[in-house]
Amino acid sequence: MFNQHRLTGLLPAVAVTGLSRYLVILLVLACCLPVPVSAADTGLFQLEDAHTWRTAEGDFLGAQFEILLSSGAEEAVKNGVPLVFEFQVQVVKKNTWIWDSVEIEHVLYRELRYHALSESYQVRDVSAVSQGNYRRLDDALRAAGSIEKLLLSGRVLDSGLNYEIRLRGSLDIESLPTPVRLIAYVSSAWDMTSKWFSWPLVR
Amino acid sequence: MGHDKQVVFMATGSLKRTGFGALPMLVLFVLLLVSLYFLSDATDNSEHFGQMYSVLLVINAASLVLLGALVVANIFTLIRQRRINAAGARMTSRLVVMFVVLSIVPVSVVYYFSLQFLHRGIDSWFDVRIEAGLDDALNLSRAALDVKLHDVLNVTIRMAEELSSEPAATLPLTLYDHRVRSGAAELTLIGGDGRIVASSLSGLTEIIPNQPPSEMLVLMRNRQHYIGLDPIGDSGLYVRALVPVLSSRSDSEVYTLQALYEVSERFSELAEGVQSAYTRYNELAYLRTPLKFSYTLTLSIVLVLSLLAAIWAAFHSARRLVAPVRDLAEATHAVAEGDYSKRLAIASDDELGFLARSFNDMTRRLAKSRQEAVRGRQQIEGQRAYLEAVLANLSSGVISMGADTVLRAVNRSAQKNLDIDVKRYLGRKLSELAADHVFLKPFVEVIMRHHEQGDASWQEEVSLLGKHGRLMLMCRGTVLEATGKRGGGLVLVFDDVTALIQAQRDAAWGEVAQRLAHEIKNPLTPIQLSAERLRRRYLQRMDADEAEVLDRSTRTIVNQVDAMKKMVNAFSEYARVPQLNLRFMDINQLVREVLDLYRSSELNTCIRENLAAGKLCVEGDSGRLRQLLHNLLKNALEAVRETPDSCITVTTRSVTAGGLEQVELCIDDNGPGIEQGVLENIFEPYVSTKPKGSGLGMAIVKKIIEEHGGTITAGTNDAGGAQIMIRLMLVADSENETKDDQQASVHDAGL
Repeated sequence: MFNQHRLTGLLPAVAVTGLSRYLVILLVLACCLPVPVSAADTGLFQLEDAHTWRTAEGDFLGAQFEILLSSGAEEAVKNGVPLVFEFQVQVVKKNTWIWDSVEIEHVLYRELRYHALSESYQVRDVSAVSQGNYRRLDDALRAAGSIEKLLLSGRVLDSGLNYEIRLRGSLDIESLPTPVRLIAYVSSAWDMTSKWFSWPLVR
Repeated sequence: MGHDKQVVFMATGSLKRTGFGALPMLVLFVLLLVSLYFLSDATDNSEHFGQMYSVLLVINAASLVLLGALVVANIFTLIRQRRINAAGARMTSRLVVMFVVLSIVPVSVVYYFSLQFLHRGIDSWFDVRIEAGLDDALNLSRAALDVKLHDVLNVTIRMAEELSSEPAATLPLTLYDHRVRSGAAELTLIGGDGRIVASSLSGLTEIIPNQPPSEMLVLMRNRQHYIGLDPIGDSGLYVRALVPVLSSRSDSEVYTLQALYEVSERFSELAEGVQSAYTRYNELAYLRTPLKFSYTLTLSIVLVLSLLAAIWAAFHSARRLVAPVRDLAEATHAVAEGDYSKRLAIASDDELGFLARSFNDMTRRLAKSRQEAVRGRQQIEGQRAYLEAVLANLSSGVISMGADTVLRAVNRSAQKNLDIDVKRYLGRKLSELAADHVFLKPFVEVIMRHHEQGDASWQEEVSLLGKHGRLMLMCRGTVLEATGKRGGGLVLVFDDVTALIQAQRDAAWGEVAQRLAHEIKNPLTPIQLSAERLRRRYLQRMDADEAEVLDRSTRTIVNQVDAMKKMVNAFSEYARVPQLNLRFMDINQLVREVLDLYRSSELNTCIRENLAAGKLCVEGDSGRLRQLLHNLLKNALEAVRETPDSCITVTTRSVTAGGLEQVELCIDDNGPGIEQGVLENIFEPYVSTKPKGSGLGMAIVKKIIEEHGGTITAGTNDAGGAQIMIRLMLVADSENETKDDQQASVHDAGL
């Protein structure tokens, strides 16, 4: 009953972005505010590995994102600004004649913050209220980008239909403190959003 | 009066032009202010509006863009109005500039100082001493913990050493003993692959031991110790110690002992307090620049909103203020162009309202005055048209001129009587008339003389020799009284009395002739009879000499009496009341019959006939007309008697004169012509160039023509000879025949 599918050749999907975000970007650009960002000083958020498997309980997803913070973001973390990473997982039903429909959607939040007293980084799964402490930032980021076992659906999906898994991770700018948000919207240093990756759910 | 209802509405028009009313704009401003309040609160990262910050920012920005577009539209509208020089545009511009300057200056000052205070206020939150204090506090906490950590590590190492010799079956109990003795919250023995070999937990609720991070397991594989402070969820601070358990058995795997020690509650609270304060302070220090930027942005949005609102309000207020003045300017312009129907709406009781009321009164009075002026002008025009009609239909010629003898008006009869286009000389001096038409010189001289003499009213008969013969004018002049700028002019009324005088003269001559005939003819017969009796009775008795004297004397008496009889008969003929026997006849045929008589005689004169083709019918007495032709031909023959190669030409043709079809009969000769002195009076009785003529031939000819309603003129032809031209009314041929037949039948019936 164990069926595992590893990702090979992931297909990027169309990026879905919020309108308000672009409006804010336009607004700030219109204000001609200097944003101290160099081209090399950018973060990274990309999918490293993803796989699904099926058990009697249902379909599960495991994934690992590679997250690298820009120096600005890293400085913010070290100064006590918490960062929230958002992971969107969608099970999309493929339709021949009409547009595809999102059958199931999971959104996971991982919060990364620095604990000055213990000189460690805390990674907290917001929904699961689980927490891990890491001495090194790399370990903390790896832990934050790890989805070990996510139950996609508690029910058995219709075997007669085609389903597709879509996955994306990003830094949640709206969770940043308000003063940082404006800069984060227009600065590439804070633009940490992976592409949408999709692959068919094989059963 | 329908236009009186055309009222200029001031306020509503301006509002429509602005594009937005005051109320919607007021609502927009209130909403913007509320939104700005939320934005300001959200900038502070408050719980209420922190999540809405981006949305609020977008709403405010969109509102500003909308307001900016409205202001730009107003500016463009104003620029366009200024380009086309619309009424009130310049005043609106000045007011808007004034309002904007008045609002920009204080707002900018407030903005500048607010920004300064804001930045200084934010900077004042941070102090190096506080920062150093917090660092010290954190380090103190760490130092305090370090002692505990060191003790704990030693205890854990000792436990690991004791556990190294314990058999696997007793490990859970041993762990329990060690945990109780050491006061640890949790002791866990972990295998090399990360599995939990044995554990002992102090809490009743916890059943799963806390797993160390994978990085620590890697550390353990290298048989290194780990001691550190771990905040675990909401449980507070814990000290985590990881020590490898080195077994004495060579074949057994290396375990790792993890010990979690709970930090005392008091210490934990204090440490967390320090940690929290330190983190918060660091976060704030880090956010200092972004925070300044956020507040500056919010303040700038408020500033721009205030400025845009002030500019819009400036436009709105300026338009409202200028609207009455603009309407007044437009209305004044309309009045200047002659539109007196403009009325201004009286929107207020202030000075502008008074001005509008006064303007309305003025236009009302102007309109009334103009209507009266138009009515008066129409009356004058009517009177003038009536006067012109009267003058035009007068048979008398009327000429009016100014004191400077410049012609001002002339009627139709004046042109007809003078037979020239007098209207061409309107606005020109009277003397120019005489210069262009020599025959009018006596006429002009008479007028000028009386004018120079200053005669107020005069009357004089003027004789002119025009193109068609003698022209007698009875002129009456009256000086006009000077009115206004115009000096006294002259009105000249003149009548063509040529025909009247001629008729009087003819009548006088007829009377004379009749009396002569009557008085002279009666004694002639007894004189002749007496002379003949003397001759018969005494001629035979007298000797030859006496008889010869008697014979000569009586013959002379008889001959002279005969001559006198002929003369008297001629007078009688002239004075005879015509008894015309009018019939329709062909002039050409009559001419041919008469000319045939002259061709048969032995004449040295060539007589040519140049007659029009076809018939030229007139209604006339053939006998009288025949006599007329004989008289004229005899005169012509006598005129060319001394002329070599003498020739007489008789021409007939049809002409149109004065819109009437006429027969023209011309008799031309190549004789010496008629002297100018004679020509003037050739148709007068006793005017003759012949030594033996009675002087009544041409007078009788003229009389015959007048009896037939025709005209006769005498002149000189191109060959220098005389030309007599007669014109009689032409009668249509078919009509002639019909009438001729009717008359013939009447005559037959009369017979």
